[in-house]
Amino acid sequence: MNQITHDRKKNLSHFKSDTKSLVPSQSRVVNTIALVGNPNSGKTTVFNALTGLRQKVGNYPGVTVEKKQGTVHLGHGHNAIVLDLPGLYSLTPRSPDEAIAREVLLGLRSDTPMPDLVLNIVDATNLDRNLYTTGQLLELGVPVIVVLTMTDLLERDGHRVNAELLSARLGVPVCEVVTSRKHGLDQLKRLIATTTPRDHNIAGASGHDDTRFQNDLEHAATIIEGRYTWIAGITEGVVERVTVTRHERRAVDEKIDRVVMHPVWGYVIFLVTMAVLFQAIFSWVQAPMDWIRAAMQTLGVAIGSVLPAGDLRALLQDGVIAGVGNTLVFLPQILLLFFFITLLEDTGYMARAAFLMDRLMSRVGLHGKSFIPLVSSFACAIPGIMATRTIGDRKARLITILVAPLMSCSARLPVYALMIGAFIPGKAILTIGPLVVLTLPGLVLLSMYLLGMVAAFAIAWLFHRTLIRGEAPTFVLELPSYHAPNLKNVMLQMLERAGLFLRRAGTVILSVSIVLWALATYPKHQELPQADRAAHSFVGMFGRTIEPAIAPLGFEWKMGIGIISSFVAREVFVSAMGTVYSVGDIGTEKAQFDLQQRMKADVNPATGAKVFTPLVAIALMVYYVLAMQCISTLAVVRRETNSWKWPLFQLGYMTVLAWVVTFGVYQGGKLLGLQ
Amino acid sequence: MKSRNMNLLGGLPRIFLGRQRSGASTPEGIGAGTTAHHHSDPHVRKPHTTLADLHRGDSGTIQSIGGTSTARLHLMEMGLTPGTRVRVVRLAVFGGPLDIQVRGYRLSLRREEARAILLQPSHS
Repeated sequence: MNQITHDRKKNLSHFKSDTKSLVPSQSRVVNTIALVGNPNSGKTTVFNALTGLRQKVGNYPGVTVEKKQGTVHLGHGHNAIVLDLPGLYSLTPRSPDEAIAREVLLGLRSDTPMPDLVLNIVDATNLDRNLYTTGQLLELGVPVIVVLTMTDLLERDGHRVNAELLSARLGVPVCEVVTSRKHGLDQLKRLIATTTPRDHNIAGASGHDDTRFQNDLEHAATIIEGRYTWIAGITEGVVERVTVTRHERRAVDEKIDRVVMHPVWGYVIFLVTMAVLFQAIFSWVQAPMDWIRAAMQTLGVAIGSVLPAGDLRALLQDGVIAGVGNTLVFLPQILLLFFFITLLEDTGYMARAAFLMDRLMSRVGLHGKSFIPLVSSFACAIPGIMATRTIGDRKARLITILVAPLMSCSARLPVYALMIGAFIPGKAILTIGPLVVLTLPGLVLLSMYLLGMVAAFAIAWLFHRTLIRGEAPTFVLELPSYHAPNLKNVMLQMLERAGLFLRRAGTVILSVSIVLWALATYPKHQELPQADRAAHSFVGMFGRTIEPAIAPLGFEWKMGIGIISSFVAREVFVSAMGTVYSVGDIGTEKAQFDLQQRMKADVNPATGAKVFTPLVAIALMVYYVLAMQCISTLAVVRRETNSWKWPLFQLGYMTVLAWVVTFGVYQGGKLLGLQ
Repeated sequence: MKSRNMNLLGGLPRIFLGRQRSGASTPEGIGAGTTAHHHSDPHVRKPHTTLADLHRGDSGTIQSIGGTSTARLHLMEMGLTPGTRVRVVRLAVFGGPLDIQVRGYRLSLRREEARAILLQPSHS
């Protein structure tokens, strides 16, 4: 936020010094522009075309609404701030998006400059509904320029919008912009530069304050009907038929949809799309993830050769690089996931997928669009939770965020691999002739993934029924026309998400990693051998303290240390075990083998019983499936829900769930005489 | 109400649709519109035909919108105002959402939402 304010000052001062000689001092010019438009109206494309890379993303303080702003060069050193307000169908403040947009437009937010001018993005192929927002803007009394998009699509249909007539009827300038052909952008900039900005001293008419009519339904309904009647008068004869085309866009859309939304083929296409997405975020990015991992190791070694052995070196190597590095590794997955999601959104397929999946998801209070975030969470819950932004319904979005970490992420895989490798015998379960279809380790691994999925749906249903009440869930979703994706949009969206993620990694995750490192290092016992030091640190003490709590699950204090260390990232369990069993660098295959042997041989000195048995291994895996053990995820949930309430709730419910289920598995297994 | 035979399920059993439609016959939002109820005409088979009762390809004209206040205003702002023509483009299987065409664009909404949209009695 500070940065944004700072930048604004910079822009303003820059503008002042540059333009004094060119513009007479009395005449005022536009300094702040707001972009307002329906979702799918091409608003983002216009924003990107105006601002290029000069943009940044944040949040409006106190709410979860995204704040996007950039700078446009209008020529002659005249720069203006462009605020990209959230895509919306109405300015009636019912959702937080709409409330923020309204407050910004009326200059009621102290954190945002009051716009001098509104660019209203209007999809020419969908005039009626888009002009609804225009009507509301005109009622607000702000200066408006209507930016007509998608006129190229309309032309392909053999139609044309009579922009002069539309402009005359609306009483505001209308400018056609086709970003792909760079058509109309210069004209738009000239229009902006010559517009007289809103006089901030004169309060604009606040229009129909629909909030007053919340209790007077009939009145509100009459106003809405009135606006549509007004629109009918505006659009009468504005769209002209120029030529007759054989392939009308709507007809083509319906032809495509006959396959894409087909009750059988639609699902086949959807499953294939998901399989590609899943495969991509899992395996295509292995190489760049390995590079990041290697780069982090190199950095650690470099630090080791520069700094003398001591606390600082250990802090940098084991705290900063291990903690942040473990999170940074997921950057390629995040980039690729958002590449796909933006592609699906941009082409118009996402709405179709939501249409197909909505019945299944709505049974448990989720939304058709919850599916992709949940699938993404198999890779990592962080991008999954970030992807819930596409879900319009707030309740469904919150439930999706709350259950997403139950999907087994890739950081759990090393834990499963260690436990299964050591304790689950490689017996074949299902064979067809000489072909082994399923082995016991494979079955166990599959069960862990299934357990997470079942838990996610069950918990979603539970929350839907009990915890999160309030407004009825809605699924009023526009099915936009199919479009070729805009590569610039896709790339910018990717970079934007990556930036948000890196900022998280650089702040919350960094500080938590340092704290966890300190807890695992102090108090120091130099006299003890390296292997025992961790056990006597705060984390070790904590591991022993929680032993009574985890003993009913079959765990002893060493697992306690592993569980607590896992808060940096779940796979840290493996290296924590490596430290506790002192097998040195866990990165090698031999060390993994050594660790497995030592874990198998470990005996409780008090009872003489084995510490790890197959049952304990299963119990531990079940615990890892269900427990919330990821500081980075909590930090992202904090960001996405804008309060600590939900991440703390999530930590609480998942810990309780994990404990109860693991208790049932371990004690039940013991009763059945399993080991 | 028109009852054109549907084959949208591409050969899938029709039972699914039968079940949904029997559930759909009781409109949730009654009389929320500006027009009064039409209980007087005994020849109308059902007192209210809702958007959820339409088959694939059927069209109708909106009479009024019921449901909760927020949902109702939201639907109206999306262009589903009384007097507007709507056409059902397709229905999702297993009682999933409807895909409709309204004011020249396509919109999908759940059956519960469609059930709150009352249509003018057809004159056939």
